[in-house]
Amino acid sequence: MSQAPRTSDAAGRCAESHRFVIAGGTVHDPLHGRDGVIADLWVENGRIVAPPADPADYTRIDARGRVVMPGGVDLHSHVAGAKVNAGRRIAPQLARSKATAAAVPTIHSTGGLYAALGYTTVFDAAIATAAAGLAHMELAELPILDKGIYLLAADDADVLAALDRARDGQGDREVQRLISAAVSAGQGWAVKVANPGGPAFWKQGRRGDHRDLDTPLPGMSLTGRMLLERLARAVQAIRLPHPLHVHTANLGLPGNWRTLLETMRTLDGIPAHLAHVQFHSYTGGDLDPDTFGSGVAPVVAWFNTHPELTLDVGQVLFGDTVAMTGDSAAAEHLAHATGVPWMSHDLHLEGGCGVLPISYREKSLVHAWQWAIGLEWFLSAADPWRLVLSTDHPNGAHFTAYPHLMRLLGDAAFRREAFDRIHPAVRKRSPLAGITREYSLQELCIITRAAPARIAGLSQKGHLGVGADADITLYRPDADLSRMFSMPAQVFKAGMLVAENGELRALPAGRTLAAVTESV
Amino acid sequence: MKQQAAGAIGAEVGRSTCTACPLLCDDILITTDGVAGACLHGSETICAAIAGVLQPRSATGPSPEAWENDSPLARETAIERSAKRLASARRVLVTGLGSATLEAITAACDLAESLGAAVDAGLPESSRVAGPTIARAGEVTAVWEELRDRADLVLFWGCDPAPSHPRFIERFIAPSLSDGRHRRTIAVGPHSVLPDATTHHHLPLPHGLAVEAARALQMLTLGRPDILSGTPVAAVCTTLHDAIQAANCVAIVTSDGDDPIGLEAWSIVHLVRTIAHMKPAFQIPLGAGLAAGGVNVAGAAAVCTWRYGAAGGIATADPAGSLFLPAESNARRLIDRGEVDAVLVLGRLADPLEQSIADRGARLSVVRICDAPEPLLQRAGDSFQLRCACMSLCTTGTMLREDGRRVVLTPSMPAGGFGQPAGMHSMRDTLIALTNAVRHAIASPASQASPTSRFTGGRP
Repeated sequence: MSQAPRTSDAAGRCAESHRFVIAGGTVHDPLHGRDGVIADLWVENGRIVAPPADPADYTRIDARGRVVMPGGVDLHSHVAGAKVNAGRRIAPQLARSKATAAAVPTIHSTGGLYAALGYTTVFDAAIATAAAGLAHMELAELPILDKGIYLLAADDADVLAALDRARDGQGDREVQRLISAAVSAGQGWAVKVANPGGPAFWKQGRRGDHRDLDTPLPGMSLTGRMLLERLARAVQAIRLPHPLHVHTANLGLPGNWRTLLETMRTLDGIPAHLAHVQFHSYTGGDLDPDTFGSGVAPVVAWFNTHPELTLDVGQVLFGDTVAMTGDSAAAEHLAHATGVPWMSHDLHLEGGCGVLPISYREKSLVHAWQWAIGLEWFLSAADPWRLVLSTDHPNGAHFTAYPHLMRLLGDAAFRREAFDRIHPAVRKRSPLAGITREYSLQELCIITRAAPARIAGLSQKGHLGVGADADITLYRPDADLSRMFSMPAQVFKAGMLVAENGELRALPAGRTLAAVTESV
Repeated sequence: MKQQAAGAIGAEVGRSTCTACPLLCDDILITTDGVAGACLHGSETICAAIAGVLQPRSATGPSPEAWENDSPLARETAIERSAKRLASARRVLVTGLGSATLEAITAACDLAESLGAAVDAGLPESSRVAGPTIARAGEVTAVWEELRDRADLVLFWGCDPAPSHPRFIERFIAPSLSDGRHRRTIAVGPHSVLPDATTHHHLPLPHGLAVEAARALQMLTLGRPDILSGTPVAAVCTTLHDAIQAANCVAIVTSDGDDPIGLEAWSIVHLVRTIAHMKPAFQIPLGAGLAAGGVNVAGAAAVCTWRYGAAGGIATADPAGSLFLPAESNARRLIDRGEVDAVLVLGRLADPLEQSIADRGARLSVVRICDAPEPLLQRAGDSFQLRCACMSLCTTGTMLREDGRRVVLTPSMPAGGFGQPAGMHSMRDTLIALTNAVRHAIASPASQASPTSRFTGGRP
């Protein structure tokens, strides 16, 4: 892995920008309806440009026989900030294997590993507003990738108080003003809510009260449901590029599919993005006749008929990893149940985070259900443009496992083999047994590039049209999709070759993606 | 300059963040009469810093910017010679990161990576034989404002914050809770911490029984009163258990103290986890404070962790992830065992580490960057000291308070002003200049041909 830094200009583009054409590749560009067509891509100054009148000055890169896609966009990951640092410290044994990437890589390795995989943009999905400054310092050392953060602005005491006051349309502008100020001060890209109202319950020690969306927060008339609706409307009103990013209540608990469905109903008609829905789609508990299992069917049915909603899956894959969340209650619940080391840090007035190591095993009933439920989501959702491939890195699995997940989606026989190895009770009951759908290359391109870019509000990413950032990945076609997506032949970031056959070629600095909010 | 009594404040010169201890108090007022708001130690530190900044020019010119041993040297010459020495060393240690801003720590890590140096941030967890407590049991903590606003019961577990963190009690224990109630405090251990009062009790406990008490109290909290039978900690644990049961939110203040194995830290984490499963509870772990040899130890740990995957004890600085060797690659052991022949020191180190460096004498080359206006270490061997702008008065940058809260330093005096050499460089800028010189020295044929070149072995 090369470690020689390269200079970049203020916009994050390489100062060595030049003209070239990627010629004769098999282009997948879903936004422009190109599904495996032979085409040339002309690049100048880090952007894709129209075919020039005089192509003489353009260096030719022969892409014949290569599959050409936009650079990958990870809409929901955890790569920086205090919780990620805690993840690095809590399981040092997971960082010692030379054979695989550390469960929580260093910030430098994170950039290199993503780029070598063909990804060029990443968002950290949970940063407390008070911790944003430090997170940006860390992200400044993340090489290659363009990056942004989602701010947990709804945990701020003043925002909660304003949401509580915002009844019947009164006080909406105060909420909008506070959210806008938080995004501006924290250089955020979006607003995330993790367990709506949960930190208020957590800090009062009333975890048992928070099993539904309709219990008022301690000392307030505000409920989780009201918080969701008012916050989503505020985010919509200030026109952030990405709608409210929702990690709803009761993560990981049996029977939580009802909470997810209620969350969807609450947001009816309001744009919102539902995070890691796999962790919120379980049957079981007091209200379900059966034990722990899949609750995907009713929630995916709602999702398929409500185009204002988008989601990422948060797929679980088997192996060792570290769980980290702004939902301290969920982390405490899991740590207490498993007895593993648990890290929690409460921030002043602004929530906190929980971190613990976890090992997903295919013979574990619960883990096998989680694996099957994630795949069921991918294969049941009708519109790939509203769905994003993610493992909620590192919560469900390491991002370097994305190619394996892509093969599970695109190769039904491979999926069947994996299915036959998991816990027998899951094999017997999971709807996955009867699903034969396979993702095409175009659909895989959509859920890893085009859809996450569109959902994130990145107009210059996720496609290969004129004006797009020249973030381009060239793959060798291979029937083994895992092998194909594991090692791109070439990866270009803003027009610079950054990775080739798994080796890094350059380490330009990426851009920080910060939203510009409308003044309120 | 002098420490100023309350109510006698002169004209304001500037506001400052006190960098005398990891509390990083940001409510310090510098006036024409002195320093207001700081503790005694903070006032002395700030006054000394002001005196250094205001130091009059000598008859021969401005104050020196660098020294080789105790002889003044031009800055550029000192950087060039320091760089050559570091580049030709068999193995380099970079330490003292806790004395620097986050920006300077980043620059120091760049330099360490150029040299393939060992890096130690000076945290106790890098010295514990059992490794970091967080990896064995976790940690349940909170920022200090949570303690101030929420904890209605505070246990000082074998520690007294006053000597190590002088204003900790004034700022975070003395204020009433956010709802106006008074908090109850209990000191467990040899220190009474506060005068006895209706809201404060001292439960004497010999130091050697701290682990037993923590384990017994945990069992009692889990509903196992039988565990107390016949133990010398029964009375203490019963009192504490009753207090915890009556509280809404419990904070346990601890200090790293003398815990080389990490058993005390492990027992406290388990106790806090057990209480936290029943009601809001967290630990407030205090570090060495004034004795830490750096006020930004939390910042050093943060940068080292995101750069190398561990908070210290880094065998070789490698941004792709480094081997973490607690109790093996910490600064003192590397120096005492002679495993390094050159050390880059930022600021002043804790006394034991300074002593270790002194004990190595001419066998260890030292390059130090700090704001002291005179050479700190008289040595017979290679020793360079590069002066940088005053940390507490003239530095722009950020630090992390010991609980992780980010603090922005705003200069209250201009670098290069008030008699300092014109354009006094910050520690960060000095590190960047040194890094460039080191890279140049490494690239030069003479360095590569040297029998003591860093490329010729000696690495672990």
